[in-house]
Amino acid sequence: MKTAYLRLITSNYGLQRAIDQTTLKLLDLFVLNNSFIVRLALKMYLIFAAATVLLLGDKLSLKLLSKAPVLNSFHNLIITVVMMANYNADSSAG
Amino acid sequence: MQTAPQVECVVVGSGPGGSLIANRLAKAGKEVTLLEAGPEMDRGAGVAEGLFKHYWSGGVVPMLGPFLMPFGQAKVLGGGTQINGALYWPTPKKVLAEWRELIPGSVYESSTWDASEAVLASEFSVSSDHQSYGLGNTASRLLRKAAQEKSWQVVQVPRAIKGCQNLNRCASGCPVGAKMTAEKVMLKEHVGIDIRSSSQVTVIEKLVSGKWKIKYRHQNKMEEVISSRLVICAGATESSNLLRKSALSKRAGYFFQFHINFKIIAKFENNVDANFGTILTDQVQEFMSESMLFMTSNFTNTYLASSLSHLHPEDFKSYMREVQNLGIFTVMIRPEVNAKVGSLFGQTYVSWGWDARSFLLAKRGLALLAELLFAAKATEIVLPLKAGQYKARNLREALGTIESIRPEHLIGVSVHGMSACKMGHSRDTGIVDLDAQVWGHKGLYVVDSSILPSNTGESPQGTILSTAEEIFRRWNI
Repeated sequence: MKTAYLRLITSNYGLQRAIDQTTLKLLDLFVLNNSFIVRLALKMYLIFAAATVLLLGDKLSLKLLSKAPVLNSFHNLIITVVMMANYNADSSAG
Repeated sequence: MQTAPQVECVVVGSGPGGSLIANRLAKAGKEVTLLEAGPEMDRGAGVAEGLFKHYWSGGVVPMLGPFLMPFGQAKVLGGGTQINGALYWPTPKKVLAEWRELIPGSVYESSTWDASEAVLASEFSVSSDHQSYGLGNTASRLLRKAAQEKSWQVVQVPRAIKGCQNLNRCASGCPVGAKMTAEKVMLKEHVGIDIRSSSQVTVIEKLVSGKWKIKYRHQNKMEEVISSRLVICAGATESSNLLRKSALSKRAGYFFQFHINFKIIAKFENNVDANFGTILTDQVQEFMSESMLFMTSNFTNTYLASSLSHLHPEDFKSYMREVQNLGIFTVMIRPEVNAKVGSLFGQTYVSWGWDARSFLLAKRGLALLAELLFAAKATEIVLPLKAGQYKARNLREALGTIESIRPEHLIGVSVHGMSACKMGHSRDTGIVDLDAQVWGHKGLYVVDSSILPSNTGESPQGTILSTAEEIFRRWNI
C-alpha cells in the first residue's frame, strides 16, 4: 500500500529508479535505525500518506501532505530518504 | 545465580576519545572491554545505506529550534572518525587561549599539549600534501582561486588519510579504507582490547562496593559487566543522555554547543568535476576570527539530491540534469547559542534557539559565500532556504534574498556537537572535573567531545584526541 505514496514521490521528482525491493529495504533500514517512538510515528505516517493518496488522488494528497503542519515535516523527510535511496548505488555524479 | 563478569576498565564508545583511551589503558597493561553501540563499518554499503547504517537515527537526530535541523552523529565502530571528512586540525590557537583562561590548570595548559598534538598527527598520518590525492577537484580549485583573487586567506586542509581513491564518499564511510580512522590506528593493533560492537549501553549503576555495573543490549539480549573504572566516550549527545538516564547527573546535556553548516549549490557554465578529487582540499579561513569557514562539500548524486530535496520538483529535475556543472559549497559557523540535549522515549533530541548575533552571523556567512561563488564565476546559486526565492543569478539578487531571510526559512545541518558534559572547576561550572571524572562519582569518567569547554570552530577530531591523550597522562596509570 505504501508503494502508491512512494511512487507518487518518484514520479513527481522525475526519479529514475522505480520503487523496488532495494528502495523499500533502504526505507526500512532508515526506519529501523530510529528509536521506537520515531519508528512508530514514521510507520503511522506512511500508512496515513498511502491512504490519503488512495482516497484523494495524487494532486490533492500531495497538496495536503506538503502543506499541512507536522505532516509536511514527515513528507519532506520521506522525500529526502526516497531520493537518497534512488541514488544509493551512485558513487559519482553524472 | 550467575554474576556479571568483572574487568578492570570498561570504555563505552569507540570514537576518537574512546579508542584512544582504550588503546592507552591496554598499553598500560589494563584489562579493557570496549562497548560500541554501532556495528562494524560496512564498506560495501552504498552512500544512502552507509548514512542510514552508520549514524544515530539514520543521520537525523532532530534539533528542534527556529528551524528543524538534523544532527549527524556516528554510530559505528571507530565513531566519528569513520564518517567525517578525515580533517585533522590542531585546536585553533584562539580557542585554546579562551579555554586556558576559562579553566586554569586544565589539560589545555599542559606543557606537553603541543607535543601530544604532533605525535598524534604523526600516528594518524596527517598531511596537507595534496599531491598524494591529486590537486583537489575543479570546484575546490575555483573556490581557492576566487579567494586568492580577493586576497582572502585560504589554506590546504590537513587530513588523516592514506591512499585516497577520490571516491568522494567520506560521509558514509570510506569504501576503500583510506581514512586513518580511530579503529585503524588505535584498535586494530591491540588484540588485548575486548571489542564488542553492536552493544548499546542502556544504564549504569553504582554498586555498594563503589564499582560500576554496566547494562547493555547485545543482539537483543541484555548483558552486564562490572568495572572499577568506567570511561564514557559515547559522543556529543549520548554521553550526557547516559549520565542523566542513570541518574548520575541532572545537569548533563544542559550546555550543548555545536556548529551549523549551510550549503549553497552553485551552477557553473562548464563541467566542474565536483565528483572527482576529494572533498575539502581547501578551506577559506579569512573570516575564521569571526567564526566562519568556507569550503567545498561531498559531491555524489546522493548528496546532491538530498541537498536539493527542498526545491520545487521542476527545479529539482532541472538541476539533476546538469549535475556535471554543479558544486556543493559549505559555510560553517560557530554560533554562541546554548542548546540542550534531551531524550524522549529513547529518542535523542536537541533543543536550541538563535541569539540575534548568531542569526546575523548565519546571514553574513551566506552573503560572503555567495560573493565568493559569483567571484568564482558561478552563473547561478541555490540558497539553503525552505521558502521564497532560493535561486539567485547574480550577487545583488542573492544579497537581497539573504537580507530578507527569516530564521524559520533556513535549512542547515550540524555534524559537530560539543560541551554537553563540559569540564569545570566545580560541580556548579562543569559536569566533569579537570581529570574528566564526573563530579561526585569516583571511577566514572567522560572523555569525548562532550567535555570540551566550548565549540571549537573547526572539525574537532584532533582536539578530542589531544584532550584524551592529555587526560590519560593526568591519570598517571
